[in-house]
Amino acid sequence: MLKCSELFANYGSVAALKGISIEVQSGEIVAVIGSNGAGKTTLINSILGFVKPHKGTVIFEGQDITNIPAHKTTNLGISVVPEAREVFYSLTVKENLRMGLKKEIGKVKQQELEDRLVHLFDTFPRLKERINQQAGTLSGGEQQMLVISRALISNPKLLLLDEPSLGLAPIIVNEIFEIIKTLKKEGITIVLVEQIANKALSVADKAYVIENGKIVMSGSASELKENKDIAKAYLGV
Amino acid sequence: MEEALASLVQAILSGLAIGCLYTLIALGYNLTYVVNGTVNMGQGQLVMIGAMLMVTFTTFLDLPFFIALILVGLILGILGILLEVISVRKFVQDKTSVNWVLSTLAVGIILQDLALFIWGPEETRLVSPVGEGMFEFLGAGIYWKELMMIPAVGVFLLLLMLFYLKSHWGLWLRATADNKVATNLNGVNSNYTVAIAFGLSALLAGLAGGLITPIYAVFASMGLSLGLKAIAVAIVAGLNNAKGIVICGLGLGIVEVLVAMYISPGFREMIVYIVVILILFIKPNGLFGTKETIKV
Ligand SMILES: Nc1ncnc2c1ncn2[C@@H]1O[C@H](COP(=O)(O)OP(=O)(O)O)[C@@H](O)[C@H]1O
Ligand SMILES: [Mg+2]
Repeated sequence: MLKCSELFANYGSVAALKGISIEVQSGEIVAVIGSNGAGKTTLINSILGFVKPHKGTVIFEGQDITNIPAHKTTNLGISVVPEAREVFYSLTVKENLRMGLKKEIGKVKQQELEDRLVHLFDTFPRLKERINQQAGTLSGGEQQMLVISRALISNPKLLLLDEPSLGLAPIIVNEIFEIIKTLKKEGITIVLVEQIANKALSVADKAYVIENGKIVMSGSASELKENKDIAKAYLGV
Repeated sequence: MEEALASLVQAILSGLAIGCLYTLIALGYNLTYVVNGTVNMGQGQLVMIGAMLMVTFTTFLDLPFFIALILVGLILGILGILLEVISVRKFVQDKTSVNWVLSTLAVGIILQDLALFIWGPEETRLVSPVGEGMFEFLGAGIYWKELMMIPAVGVFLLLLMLFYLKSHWGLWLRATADNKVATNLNGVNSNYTVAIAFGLSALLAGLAGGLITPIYAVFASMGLSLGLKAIAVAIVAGLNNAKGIVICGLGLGIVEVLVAMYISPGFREMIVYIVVILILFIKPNGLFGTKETIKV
């Protein structure tokens, strides 16, 4: 479904990606694990078209999307939960969710929107109570739930999650990983970027470990869980 | 006593009429400011182009007043989009750059010279669509052509508000104003919405220019003072506060007429700008403006 080949990306003269290749099959959860500054967010942004790789290709469902800007790639069935969350603070929860409909916003009928909201509220009940509240008034955890819902409301084929647990209380982190498991059951394909390897590996099918803009290890999640080096580097063992 | 009251009522009504036009122009600054942090410094010249086109459409093409007005609005809307692409987009890529001030001023001056070339330096005034009759009220008389500004602008502002708050286009504008990165990550090109904001802003300038034709002399250099007054309104109210701009725009119209009536017409602008400086001295963010707070 998604194939990144030999991606190189720079910020000015700083190389952030030094030849990254990853492959994601339909229905899989693929974890990308790495410490701070490894290049995980740059990889996500390169897929989205927010960062322009100077070498390499990104193929999504057979289409070359390497040089397609983010506002277009996100209309191809790719949704993102960005590391910085990027909530529309001044808009209401409902307006944030409507933004998640992307270019479809004019086509989705009122009833259809209500149906999708009801479906989301099954998983995110707290958003229902806050539907007309300004998003800026939500707690950090609630904002993350909002951003995940906003990413899901368009029924994406591919969901990119950039450190969804960052800065959240452990209980919320657990909640988020439970949600990721539910999403997997619904058949949605996910790229999950994380620093916390054990959490990520517990939900992923496959994982890549990146360090300094390079992939240093990859394999099935169960293989990597057994791997002593990973345990040392990322599980804090 | 009664005469004094009558002339006060009259002053307030004509002040409201012209104040409506200031409001319309000033809201144009607000629309682009919240979305992009920029304003079109040539807004006054767009009002002038609107007025000139209005004269052409109604006198040479014989179009009915309100049809011509809508047409003028649409043409100016397209002009505003072009203006954003030509003189704003490339000039704001560096956040600290103020090149857009010069580039939009420049476009305004170019438009003014073009208008001088096309329409000549003469003043014209349009025949009023509602005649030259007066409306009598509490012993006061006010021209219908002045009074009609109030409902006309009222309707336009209502439509603008519905568009801004209810349509998905309005949502896109508000989203862009809030967070450009998030807007692009949700499938909406923020370049495109910024251009729409400039289009809307120019549309308002065009409507104001069209509406002004029966009550003000129309000439190629009329834009500067209107543009300045409207930006004064916007800054005094707070560039990010639309409601405040409506209040200040109407207020300016009334104050101007009162000063002209009770003090001297010659002091009108001077006193207005003295008040502007005083207000900003005391309230740097404007009367209703809020300081941009860093969002967490
Ligand atoms: N906007 C930027 N400008 C310059 N350097 C950047 C920028 N964003 C990231 N970097 C650098 O690129 C490298 C990879 O960063 P990033 O992709 O954010 O890592 P991660 O998401 O894994 O923490 C880091 O060395 C970081 O300092
Ligand atoms: Mg990151």
